[in-house]
Amino acid sequence: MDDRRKTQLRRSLERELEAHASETQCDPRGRALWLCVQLDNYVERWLAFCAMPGIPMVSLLNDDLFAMIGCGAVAFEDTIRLLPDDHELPARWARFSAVLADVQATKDRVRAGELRGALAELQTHLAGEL
Amino acid sequence: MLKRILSRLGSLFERTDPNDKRIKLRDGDALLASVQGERVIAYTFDIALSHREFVIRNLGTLPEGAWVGTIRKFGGVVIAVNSRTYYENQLPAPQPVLDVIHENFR
Repeated sequence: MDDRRKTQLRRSLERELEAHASETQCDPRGRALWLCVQLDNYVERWLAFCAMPGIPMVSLLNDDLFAMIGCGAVAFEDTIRLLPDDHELPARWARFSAVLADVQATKDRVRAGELRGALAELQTHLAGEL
Repeated sequence: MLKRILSRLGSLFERTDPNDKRIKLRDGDALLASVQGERVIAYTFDIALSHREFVIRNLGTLPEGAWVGTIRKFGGVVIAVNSRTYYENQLPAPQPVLDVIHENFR
């Protein structure tokens, strides 16, 4: 995965986020929720290939789909900085980030499945606060 | 293990056939695509899009009988899974769909 491809993916996500925000006139919390839904898509797509036997984790961690999760995570982190009054959000986000970092470090396929739960908690929290 | 190593070596020394019009993917490349009958009717490398958004922008609505999902290349082999949004599962694409994908991507 080269840097040019990562930049393409990141810019595309930023464009989509801006288009969504402009269309719905949503506030930073709405942006965070939209990003959370996109992250869920990216994680699920990647997990589908993780579930296929024969693809080693080293390959899965260096593919477009995993890079897309990284782009979504960076965009989400930038957005929640605009929500300083939500004191629960950083801890919930930290849980997802920790699992993501751990999966990268340990290449643990089973642990990768925990991304789903961490993200669901985050999404429920954001949706509940809207 | 041996099969995997041979597959990788095979992809490293893969010859380019000038008549092969298929789109060449690199290992780890991913894209969204839709197949109807014996044709790939839409595809994009913009994987920031959801499958729903991909369909809306390229097809309006998903045509009757068309398939949509994610394609990825690994070890020289192009593989595909169903869209969760449209099928509520991410199982490997059905063989007829995969055959069409292999006729268009390598």
